[in-house]
Amino acid sequence: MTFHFSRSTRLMSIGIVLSMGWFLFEACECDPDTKEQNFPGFWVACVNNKPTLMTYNDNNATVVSTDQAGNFNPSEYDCSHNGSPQYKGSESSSPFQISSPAGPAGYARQGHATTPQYAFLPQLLRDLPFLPHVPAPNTPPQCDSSYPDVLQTNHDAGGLIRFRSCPFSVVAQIPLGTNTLQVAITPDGSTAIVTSFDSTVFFVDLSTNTVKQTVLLDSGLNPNGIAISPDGTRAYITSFNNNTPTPVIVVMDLTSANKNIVAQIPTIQFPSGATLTPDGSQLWITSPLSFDMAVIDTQTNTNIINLAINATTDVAFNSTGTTAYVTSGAGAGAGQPGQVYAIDTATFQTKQTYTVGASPSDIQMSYGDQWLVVNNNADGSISVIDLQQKAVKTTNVGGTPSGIAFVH
Amino acid sequence: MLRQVFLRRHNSSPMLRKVYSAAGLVLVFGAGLAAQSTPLIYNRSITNAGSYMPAGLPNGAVAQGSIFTVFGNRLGPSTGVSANAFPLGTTLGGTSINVVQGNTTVAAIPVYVANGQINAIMPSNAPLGNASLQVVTASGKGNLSPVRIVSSAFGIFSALGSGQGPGILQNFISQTNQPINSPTIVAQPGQTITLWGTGLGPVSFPDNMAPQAGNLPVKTEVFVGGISASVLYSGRTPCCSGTDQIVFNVPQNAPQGCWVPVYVRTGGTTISNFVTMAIGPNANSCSTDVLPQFTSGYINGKRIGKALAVRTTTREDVGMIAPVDVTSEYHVSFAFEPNPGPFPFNAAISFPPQGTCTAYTLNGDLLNETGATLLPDVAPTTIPLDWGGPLQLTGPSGSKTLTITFNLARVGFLDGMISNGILAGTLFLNSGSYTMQGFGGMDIGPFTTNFSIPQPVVWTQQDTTDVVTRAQPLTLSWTGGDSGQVIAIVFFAIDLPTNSSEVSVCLAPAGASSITIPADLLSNMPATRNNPLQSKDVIYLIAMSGGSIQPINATGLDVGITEFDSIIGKTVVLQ
Repeated sequence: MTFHFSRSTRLMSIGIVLSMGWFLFEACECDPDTKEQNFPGFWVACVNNKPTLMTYNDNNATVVSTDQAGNFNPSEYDCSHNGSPQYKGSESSSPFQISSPAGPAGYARQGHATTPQYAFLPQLLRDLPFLPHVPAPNTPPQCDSSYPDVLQTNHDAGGLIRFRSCPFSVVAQIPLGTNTLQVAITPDGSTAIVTSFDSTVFFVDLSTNTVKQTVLLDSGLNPNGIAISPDGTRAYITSFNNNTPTPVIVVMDLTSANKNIVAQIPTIQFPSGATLTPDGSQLWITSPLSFDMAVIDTQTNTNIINLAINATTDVAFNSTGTTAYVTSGAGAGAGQPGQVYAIDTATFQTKQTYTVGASPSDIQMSYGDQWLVVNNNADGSISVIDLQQKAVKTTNVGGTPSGIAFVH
Repeated sequence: MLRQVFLRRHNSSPMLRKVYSAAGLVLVFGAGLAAQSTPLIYNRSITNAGSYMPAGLPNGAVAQGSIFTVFGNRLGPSTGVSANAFPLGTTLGGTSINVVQGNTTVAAIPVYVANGQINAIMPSNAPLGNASLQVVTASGKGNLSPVRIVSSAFGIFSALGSGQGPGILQNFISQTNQPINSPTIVAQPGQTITLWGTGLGPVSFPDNMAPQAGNLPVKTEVFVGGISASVLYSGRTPCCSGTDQIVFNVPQNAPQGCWVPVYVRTGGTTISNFVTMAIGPNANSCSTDVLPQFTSGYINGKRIGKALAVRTTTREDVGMIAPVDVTSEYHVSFAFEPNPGPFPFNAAISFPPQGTCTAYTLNGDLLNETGATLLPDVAPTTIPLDWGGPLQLTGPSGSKTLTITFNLARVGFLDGMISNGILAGTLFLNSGSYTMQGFGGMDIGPFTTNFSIPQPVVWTQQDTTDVVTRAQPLTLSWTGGDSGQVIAIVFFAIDLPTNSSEVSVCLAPAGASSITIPADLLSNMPATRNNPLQSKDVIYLIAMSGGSIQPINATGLDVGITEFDSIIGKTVVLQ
């Protein structure tokens, strides 16, 4: 079941006035059946200060004189205080519902007769507060310089292109070396870091749109994916190969003048994408050519776990970094559905699996953690995942979708 | 009791049992995904064993010499093992724990190990600063997981094992009679109390031996309802390694009530979790100054219920292109027969006394819009009572059937609007006289209750409350409302990247027109991120109208009331 509460409503659940959480889990609309029909089981109550097993007979609460199953042990309950009994066991819950002699009316009643409903709160109210892009009064959104620019690597031409997103225009074409692959921007917005498969990393000054530093790595390294730590001090660069003894992730010190390599972390075959959790504590590595993906602890640069997910391409996180959404199914042909795995970043267990289009290549999370958008490379479609309703809608857009971003 | 509290947190919290149960289901569902057999420490799961303070909060570190808790999988034997004799070893049940910082490794001292949880003592010589924890079992070495180690960060043990609610505080009556304080075992002003916790700091004697009594050097202060208490002792308890006792006297001028906030400050700056204690003239019962009949009914397991109407207006101007005012109106009704147990507490019912403040922390986003993230012990474990069909609310703007718009929840949206021409709407809960009518259900009979909604309260500095400096107290003031109203300030500070929340709750003194939030509460809030969209920092001023609190007289309900709350919110930046 899913509930959509505005933040104001959430406040009520934990603030000073309400206990709404209880409603979330346990309240119901009820059919007018007998209490016995609605609660066919047993409960324990204090009768004359003694723990007593009870059940309903039609609408009447009745003492059970003999527990034929032998599960009821009065010594496990305490009736020395006011109200309902306390279960003494510390290792597990009471095997019976605890209630008053009048009975737990309502428990196990039939649920709402209709299909699950979702709140009809207007979308704006649901997302508020903190809706960041509300226009000023009576001023519809207009293109202006506050809209972000977009950077795109050009693999074949070996360069970087900077676009203005609104109105659309090419700001600069920045020639780099050969076989450029991926790009990331430092948190202060000053520098774009571009990887080249040909053992090179380029640093581009975004105030001048010129290359300010080129770092040549060992020839055995083939830079591909890149992630930059939230504090801007480290870059994590995947080396896309299957070298022996093992492929690696390169950790680069961005504070050093020469951009020193401070660690090489052994990892899965053909590591490609690199994505950090929002707090920068975990680095998730994807590979379209591996049966595994890797999760790395960035404080120690050690592997936390390898997850047996095949042919992964991209990762997105919710805003709290508690769930990773991983696209899987690279290389499959049109008509072969791909998957998005929702994985708990604490336990690394899969919480949910979504079926999307063929060969999903990119995934992005919307502000507010409500929508995921997935490019499906092989069948020319885009899948939109509604995380509240846990529903997927896939739309054919044609071509070969690759690369995706939200414009804010 | 104490042993249970710090050895087995989950067994004492129904809420957390649900978490564990849910995890079990997931494990089955996702089996085969992660094939590793070595120990796995869950992300962000290393905390003080008393406070469970999230690591993302300023005071969410682990102190040298303290007991800390680790959650994970394959951490130890399937049946938990406790250490029960001195000297304590560095291996228990086949499990050992390394604390690693660079080339330095020290061994923590396990006191309880199980498959999903470890409680251990952080050695007094553990390195300060950022380090990593690693669990080692017969199946191998587990992952390295971050932990921040400090010299002192105190956590008070709580009776419910959640780090909040009634603390493990013993009322000193005699050497042989020191019961744990609760709403039915009440302390009197001036009485001596023994508070149990962990995290005062390192000791000079071995951590694995029976501790030596004596005050530890760290400056230790205890605050009861915000009043500084005289501390008689602050050091290890001779019984238990890693466990501290603080003995103090309840201030003569301490506020009285069933849930008076108590916290500890060490080193002049680091505050503990907030727990509660009952204080009053009667040793066997306590009373509250907010909704006393309702809270008394809750404590005594009576059938209680509320029918509420709420208007919330929030000024949003952080991280936005243009500020907006968002107004929404809701109705809520609930009724249940609580099973409060010996330590009744529910953060949504167990209000601190007027004129005091408390704080709750959580590893999670308390303002999460897409899923239920609740404080422990808020979701009652007993079943709801049946009101019957929707209630009816009649007032100056007409009559509305309070349709339940959330499946399985008696909550509904009434009206709403957003400024700047974004969402037009008309509001229903305007000032005037109202009638709430229920038509009866299986448990609660029909009723008709009249109440009033006053002219709105005005938060006088709402527009100028933009930046909050955490090192300084924050004073808020207001005008308007009605007589008998209760004003509460609820201040949320949430850091999304670390999934950490603190919410401070302050109740104004009766009849007051301002309140000051102490710097101690603000100091544990995470600073607003450079990208403000990674933080959720908002202050709500809640006015519970006095004229709206009217009894619901219905069969099947021991204590029922109507209530109207006016909530004014403002986003802020925390520095």
